[in-house]
Amino acid sequence: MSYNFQKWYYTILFTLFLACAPDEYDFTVTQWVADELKIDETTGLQFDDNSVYDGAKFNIKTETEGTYTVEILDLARQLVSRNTLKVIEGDNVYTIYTRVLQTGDYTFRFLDDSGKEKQSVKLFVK
Amino acid sequence: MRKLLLLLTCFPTMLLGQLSGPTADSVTNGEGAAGLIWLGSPSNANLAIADVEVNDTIVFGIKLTNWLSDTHDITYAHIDVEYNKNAYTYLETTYFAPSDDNPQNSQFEMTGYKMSWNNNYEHYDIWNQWQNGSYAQNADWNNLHPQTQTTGGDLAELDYYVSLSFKVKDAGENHDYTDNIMITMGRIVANLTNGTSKVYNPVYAYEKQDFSYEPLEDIDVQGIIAKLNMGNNVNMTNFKLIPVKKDANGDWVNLISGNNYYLNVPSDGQVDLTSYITSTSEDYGVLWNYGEPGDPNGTNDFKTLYEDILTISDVQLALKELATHGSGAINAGISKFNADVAGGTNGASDDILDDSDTYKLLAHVMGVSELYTDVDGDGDVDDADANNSGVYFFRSTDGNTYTTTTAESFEANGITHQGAVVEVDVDFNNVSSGQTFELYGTWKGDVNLSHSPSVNNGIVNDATSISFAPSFSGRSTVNMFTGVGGAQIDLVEGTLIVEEQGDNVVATISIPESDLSAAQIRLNFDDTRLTFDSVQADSGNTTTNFAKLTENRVNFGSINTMGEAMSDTTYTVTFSKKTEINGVTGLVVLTSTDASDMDAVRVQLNIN
Repeated sequence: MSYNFQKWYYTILFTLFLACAPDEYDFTVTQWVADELKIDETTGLQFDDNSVYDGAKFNIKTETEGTYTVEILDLARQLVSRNTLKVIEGDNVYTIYTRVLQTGDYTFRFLDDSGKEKQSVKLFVK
Repeated sequence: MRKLLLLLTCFPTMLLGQLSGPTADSVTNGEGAAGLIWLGSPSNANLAIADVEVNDTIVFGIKLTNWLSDTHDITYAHIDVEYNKNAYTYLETTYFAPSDDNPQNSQFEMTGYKMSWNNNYEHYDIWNQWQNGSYAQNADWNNLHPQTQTTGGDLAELDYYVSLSFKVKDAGENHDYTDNIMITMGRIVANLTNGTSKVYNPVYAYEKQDFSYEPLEDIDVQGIIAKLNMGNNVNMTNFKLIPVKKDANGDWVNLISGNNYYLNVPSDGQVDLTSYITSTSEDYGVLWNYGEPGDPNGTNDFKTLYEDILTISDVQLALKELATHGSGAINAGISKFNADVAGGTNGASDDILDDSDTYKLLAHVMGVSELYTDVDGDGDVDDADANNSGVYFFRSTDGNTYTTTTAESFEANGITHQGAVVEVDVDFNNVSSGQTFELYGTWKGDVNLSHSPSVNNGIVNDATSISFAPSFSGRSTVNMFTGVGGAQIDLVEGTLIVEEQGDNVVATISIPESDLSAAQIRLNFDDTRLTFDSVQADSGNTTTNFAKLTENRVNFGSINTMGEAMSDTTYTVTFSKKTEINGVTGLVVLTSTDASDMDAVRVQLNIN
């Protein structure tokens, strides 16, 4: 076969291959979740330790995408911090930073888009 | 102050009692030993030697050691103990060999004799001293000869075969208390089954041969308490108390020797000093120190506290009172004392509350300039700057009055966080009730006394011109996170939200429209992961906004000095990410708030 023939032959063949391919692939992107953060149920909250240290992780598992609000309350239930977190369906692993929190017991409240409390847990921050 | 601190640190003054004897290496060839052991007093076996006072009864045991125990049981012991009768009165002897061993106990006392050592032998070689030493007449000394003979058992298996008790005496100012109780000679024997006996040789005075101790005076006072009164918003456990006494030169020196020369302070601010009062002729005192003395983080800790003490409501109160009464017209009162922060040299006060004071207070809160004065001009404010009243922040009184005269003389404590010496003038005739030496502490710039004791708490604050400075109403203080204590009459609710926005983390604080004339908020942020960028505020045209960054703390807020209320205000605090972060939980936290209404009355600003 001449070079010219081969060039056209492979070009047409590749075009046909692309044309016959499905329009989209379903990629399932799942976040890797450490064993200690795994949640069997479809929704839930799991911390990686009984105490919270700087760099500790937690997992929010949801059925819907949205924005969660996390409130940190001190022992007197006074607000220390409030922040938002974007969540997707499934596992959402985030980090807690504690360098500017004084050692003590804190309540972590998780609120959904509508401000409804989904989870609340009191933990010792080292 | 530095000289004083040096003296306090380096001058050990406690004379401690001691039992001493030869080292273990010195007695390795011994067959037996007898040593003194401390048994405290008859009523308190745990009595520390260092706490022994004149007229106490003390008890020693004589413990035998049998290094031939594999083959021999000690069945006879005769150990001589001499004592100085000017320092001790012998009381009694008790023997402890069990009755099953048919003990035969006996004792005699030689009065007016002291050991005459044979220096060819070590003094702790008490069997050779028995054979070669002697006693010589000496009216100041007696010696005891407790002896036990048994038919079985090993006397060395007893905790002590005999105990001797003495009453402690005051032997006079020039008396030498060295070795005033001492083992001098000893004979130890084991009876053998063949009817013969084994005389131990050598026998040493081991582990302890002698006792040297100058007793404390017989002081029966009780409940000597040093107490610091300070507002409920100050954590008293952050203070340390340094007991001191005057040395021969009249300088204050540490009462406790070594590196840990200070005492912890419980939350009620009361420290029991009774055990440190050991002489009726000494002058005692205490120093109150914020933080652990010498702590390299102490200055920063103090500045953190001070950010809670001098806040925008203090400034607003001072401004209002100055506007009401006019420059120089305000007199007396702790609030005025605290508000008077300028006019003197090197940042000292001048006893007049005027524009220079309110400006300086405001400038400090706004971050324009610090109240801390760099006296030595080395670019920082530290202990070296403390020898000037201008940098003194912790002020104290004797508890009777907060007049400027008293305050001036007691004014102390700057960046060193240390108060003036409070003399502990104990009434030694009062042995039936406690004695408390109170100090009232307040802070430069604490105009509204949020971190100071209430003036109605036994402190005269007459002619107070600053109308709402003291918490006259006696309302309780509230949590530090809400930032306010003392008098509060209103509550304003704000909100906080922290969000990740691209390369930034943004904290947004909203305060609704109210009759606030000033507001202040402090956020702490994780400066290992964030860098502070800016604070933006929309508080209205006539309101002055401010922001101040100290370490990882951002103080910001607004003040209206035109007599108008702040409008609905939103503060946007922007940080840049220094590193990759995974969420923003805990990166920015609210640590305190403060607010003031249009009457300069402190308002509780809650952030929800």
